[in-house]
Amino acid sequence: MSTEYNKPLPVPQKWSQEFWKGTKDHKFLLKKCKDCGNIDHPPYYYCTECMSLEHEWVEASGKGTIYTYSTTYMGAPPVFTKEQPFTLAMIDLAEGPRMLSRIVDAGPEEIKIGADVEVVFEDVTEDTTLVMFRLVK
Amino acid sequence: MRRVAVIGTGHSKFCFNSEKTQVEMLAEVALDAINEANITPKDVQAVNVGNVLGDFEEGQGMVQSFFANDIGCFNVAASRFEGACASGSMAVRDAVMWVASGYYDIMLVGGVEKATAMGTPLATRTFAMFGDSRYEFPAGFTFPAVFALLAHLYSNKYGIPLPALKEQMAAVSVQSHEYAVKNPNAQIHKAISKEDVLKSFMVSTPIQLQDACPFSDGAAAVVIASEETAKKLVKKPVYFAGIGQASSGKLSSQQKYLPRIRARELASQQSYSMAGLTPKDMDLCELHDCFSIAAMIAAEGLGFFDYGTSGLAWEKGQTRIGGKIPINISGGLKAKGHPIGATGVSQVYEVTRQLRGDMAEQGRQVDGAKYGIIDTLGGDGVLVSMILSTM
Ligand SMILES: [Zn+2]
Repeated sequence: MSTEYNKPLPVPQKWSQEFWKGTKDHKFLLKKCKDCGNIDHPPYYYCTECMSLEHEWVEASGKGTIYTYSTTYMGAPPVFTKEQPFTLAMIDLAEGPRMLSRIVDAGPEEIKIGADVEVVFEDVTEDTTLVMFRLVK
Repeated sequence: MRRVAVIGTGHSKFCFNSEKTQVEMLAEVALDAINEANITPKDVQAVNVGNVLGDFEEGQGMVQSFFANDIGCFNVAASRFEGACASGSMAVRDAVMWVASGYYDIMLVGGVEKATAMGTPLATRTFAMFGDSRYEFPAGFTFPAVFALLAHLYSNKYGIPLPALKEQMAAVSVQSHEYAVKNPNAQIHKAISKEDVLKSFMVSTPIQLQDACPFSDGAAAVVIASEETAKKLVKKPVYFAGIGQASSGKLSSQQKYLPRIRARELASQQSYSMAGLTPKDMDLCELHDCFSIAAMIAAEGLGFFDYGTSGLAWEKGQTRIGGKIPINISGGLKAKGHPIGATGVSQVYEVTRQLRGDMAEQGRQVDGAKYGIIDTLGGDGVLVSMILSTM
């Protein structure tokens, strides 16, 4: 861990720092609009439904389903080459948003559109924890 | 606004590992375009260039100014455009607006790229910069993966079983290679079969190597002028009937619309509306087939086929010369090649020459074509559409 992690790290924005603080504590926080209830993920500066800036952070259930996916066998940038094959997906979260992430601990043949997934937290450095998903078996 | 026309064109052979620098490549195609326009470099009032990664490729930025100086366009305004794979089209569209406004009368627009100088690992890394680097790249997202996600989504949403979709995708690549054989500027002069596509390496499921365009080097240029000037200089000016450009955010921001690409639909609607034309009026199309599935999505977004049916159209030959809408008769990005900064300018070159009737000797003329549309997609975020016309 820590110093050996040479892959790109997410860049927290002013409006997403709470999310990254949450993942560090293994909490999956979503930014919810106080005016209309819409949840945006990744977090936006404003609510994409009503443009409001009033918001609260709510903890997600971590459950979702696969909306679409692909397993990469070749062509990933060098820092990801050793991990091939790996599976990327769009996931419909139980709370509504559709997010991009990675499916871990599953063979390509097991992954299907509509499959149930749950969140896993990957501590990649001392400061950064990424949100990924695994199949609910 | 004044009407604006293409009056000169130039195009290098697209290739892997060009021996020329980007400034050399640009200079050659620009002088071809200037000669064809019956002007001299000192007649050029401003230069626009599409160039995406020149800095990474050769350690040379500012190619627009250096090449302009090298060919004798001294001290003109020279601007570089970066919108990933749509950079060249952005450079053309911007120039059209300057000339339409009356600010300039004659402009030179070039596009150039030398992607293969980077080697595949750096090329893959730098190309991935045009997706979102804050949330999406850390998970390993690349453009093959993005279009692969869209392919699975396309299959699911339109109820096309994956094996059938894969055959449709293969038909797109097969057609592009077939026409590229007739295009002397194309990077790949080799026909391929459906089987060749389906047995090629798996890149990102379900996209295989032969569903994807290559890394390329090359350049293209056009000279554009106001209608009045154009008519004095050349016999067959080709006019910009409509132009459009739209953008979108990171992939996740487009999630409600996918696999359709909203920015494409907006950009092309701008073009059609400005031209007073519809998809049915188009006689040919050069569209952004960075991947076979991308071509299918583009053909639907431009209004040529119903959603979920364009693969069948390719299989039935409706996208060939003589079909409903001839698409990528150049060989497309897939086989003509995709030097990213040059691609949009190359598309304008291609459609201009088709509308002038210049392609007969290459055996790939769309006879009597009056209107052609180009479509270029850059990264997650830019779509450019332009309609060219003989009248
Ligand atoms: Zn709201």
